[in-house]
Amino acid sequence: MGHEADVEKFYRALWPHRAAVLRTARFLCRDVNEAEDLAQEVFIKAFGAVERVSEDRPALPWLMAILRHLRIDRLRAAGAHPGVSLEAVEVEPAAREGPVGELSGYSEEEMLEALSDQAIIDALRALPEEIRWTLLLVDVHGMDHGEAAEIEGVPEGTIKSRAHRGRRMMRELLSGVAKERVAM
Amino acid sequence: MGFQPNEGAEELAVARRLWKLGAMPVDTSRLDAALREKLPARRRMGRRWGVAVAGIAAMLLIVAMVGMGLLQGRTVEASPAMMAQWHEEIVSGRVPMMRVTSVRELNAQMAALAKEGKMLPEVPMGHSMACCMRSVGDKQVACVLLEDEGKPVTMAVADASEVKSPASGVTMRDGVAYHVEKVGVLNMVMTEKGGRWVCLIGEVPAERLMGIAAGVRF
Repeated sequence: MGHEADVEKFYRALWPHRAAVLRTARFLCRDVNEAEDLAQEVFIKAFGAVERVSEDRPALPWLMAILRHLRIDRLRAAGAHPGVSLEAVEVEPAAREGPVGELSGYSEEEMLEALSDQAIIDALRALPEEIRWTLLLVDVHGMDHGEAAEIEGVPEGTIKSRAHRGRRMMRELLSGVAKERVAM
Repeated sequence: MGFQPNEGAEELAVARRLWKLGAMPVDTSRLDAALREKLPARRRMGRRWGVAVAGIAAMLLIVAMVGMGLLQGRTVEASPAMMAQWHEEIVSGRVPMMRVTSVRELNAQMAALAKEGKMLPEVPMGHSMACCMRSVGDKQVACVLLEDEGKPVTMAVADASEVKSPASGVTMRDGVAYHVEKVGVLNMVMTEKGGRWVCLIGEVPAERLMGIAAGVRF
């Protein structure tokens, strides 16, 4: 494929996903500039490998895989450990805290709706990196467990377990936020 | 969502709330500018878009004037360039969208925004929907961002007594008239159904867009 065809393919298949990539980077990084820098690197890297893009398949999972690898590289360069063992995440928040909605008589869904996007993002950012990634892929982007497993390089069962734990951890974190709201 | 039906209601509530984050608006303008500096421009299509975008500002002004003064209360003719601009703005995240998990929720959200009640159809795709309300002067247009085989498609719906398709470029398919347009890389089909004007836009073949439009049920 010629250079011009590659450029055209990039703009046709990948360019429309920049909002999704940037949004995901924003959920990963607290700093807006860092998120934009990360998203930019994703597209530059993707452009360099655009011949590998099959237009018969959704491009977003491929971009997410690039984003994840770049993020891990950055965390490693900064001395952070990007992974987390499931054994390290022994949280059983639901049993201790009760549903978010029990605090006010509202349903769980109503209470979650009442919380701001920023509160949800803050809770998401507080999760261990790999669990956060699972929720980003499965819940935010609506990917199936198989797609998420491929991106994260783990078995589907691990994704299911991480999704389950991640949601429960989110509930614990958001219960705290909701409690503060009720107390105010 | 990748949620399994046997999982608990509380987990489902968290998953639904996270799903809605997927439509949180983000401003891609700085990213776009940085990428345009570092990556080659889309030569052939870029020129087309240049022409289209140059025309869009003028078109928007004209449409705004039409909506605000000259033809207030009358039918507005939909502009393909403006619809293409809306699609680009919606896809790039420059327009705040509300992510929804069902057509019922979609209609509830849109009804809350619209002057009138329900105006959106059952869509023959079951996933990834986000919506917003836009206006052309005093005419309200509901926009829904759908995903068709991984490609974003914007569906715009308005009252057919308020918004009309251009008269030219009509294609008949199964006895239904579709106005078909191409703006740059985008294909666009407009039609009328159940008293609504419906427009579908995306980098998807026009035939496929007509197929989606045919499956729309009000």
